[in-house]
Amino acid sequence: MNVITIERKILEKNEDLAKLNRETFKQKNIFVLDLLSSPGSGKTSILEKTLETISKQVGIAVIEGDVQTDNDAQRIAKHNVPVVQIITMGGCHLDAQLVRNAMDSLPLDEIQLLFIENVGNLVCPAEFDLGEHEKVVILSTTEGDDKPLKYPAAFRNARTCILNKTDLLPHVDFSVEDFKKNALKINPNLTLFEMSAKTGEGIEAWTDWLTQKIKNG
Amino acid sequence: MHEMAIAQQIVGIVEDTLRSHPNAKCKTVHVRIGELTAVIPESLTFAYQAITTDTPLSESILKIKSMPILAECKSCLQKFGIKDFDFLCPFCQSQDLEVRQGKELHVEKLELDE
Repeated sequence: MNVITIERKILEKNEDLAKLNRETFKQKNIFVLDLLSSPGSGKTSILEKTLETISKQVGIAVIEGDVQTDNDAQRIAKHNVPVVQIITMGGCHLDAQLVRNAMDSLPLDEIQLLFIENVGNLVCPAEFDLGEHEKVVILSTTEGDDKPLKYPAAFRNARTCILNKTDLLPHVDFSVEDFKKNALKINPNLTLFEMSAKTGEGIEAWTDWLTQKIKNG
Repeated sequence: MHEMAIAQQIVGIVEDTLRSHPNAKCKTVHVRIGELTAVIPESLTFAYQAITTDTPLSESILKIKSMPILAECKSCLQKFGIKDFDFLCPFCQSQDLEVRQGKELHVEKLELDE
């Protein structure tokens, strides 16, 4: 029996491509966020509200990742921003190659902000670097305040976290205080936002943060 | 089930290595998987078996070494294990920690019959 030492990163190909994406974003001066959440927590609604609020001041594009349908891209396109839909045909996450392919169809010279809406899934997308600046993990108040403890990789790998659907708080058994405690236990450096994409409550703190990030380059 | 994508990358790395050992048969693939990754060892083993069926790697076994999360406190410089994802220094209660182990996704070595 012959033992051969390899010591290679399993996701090295993805990491190399993510690095290339990151270089392109840096060159073009684009701030890039990868949005992670379970299905139905309101990623697309948050994007729509964000576009309503700042798409006139900032050049924004969106990459949509879904297992099937281009429903989300159609919703985004109504806001007159460039959007590319990636259909993964069963794939549970986006990878750096899929994002790279999508970048070819975007006017990268005209935008300062790119949102990548990952496939709705709190597990798999956490492990894949796409070349983004930050991962943003989104949770809604209908999902339970212990989710950070159940999906630690997603909350640990994100730098920013949005709690959505705060308008439903009077109707659901969700403790914002416990949620914050759980999220910060997994990742003490998380920047937290609370909002309702439906009513627009709390959206301004988020869009102010975005415009500041873009300004800081 | 991103374990399928991860299994495919492992197979790619194994095939890559076997190119310089054309007469070898791979018996065991050793990988290290950190507990802070979103990878479930049982799912990865299943995915590896599924994609190597009816290939030259069909008889190879994937051996997974699970790597517990270890951290170093940036305040008091102590090193310790993290239990239940509680990222808190047990010595000085600081939350300013550097994860030193637990994020691994590595192919370590291959055992070949040559």
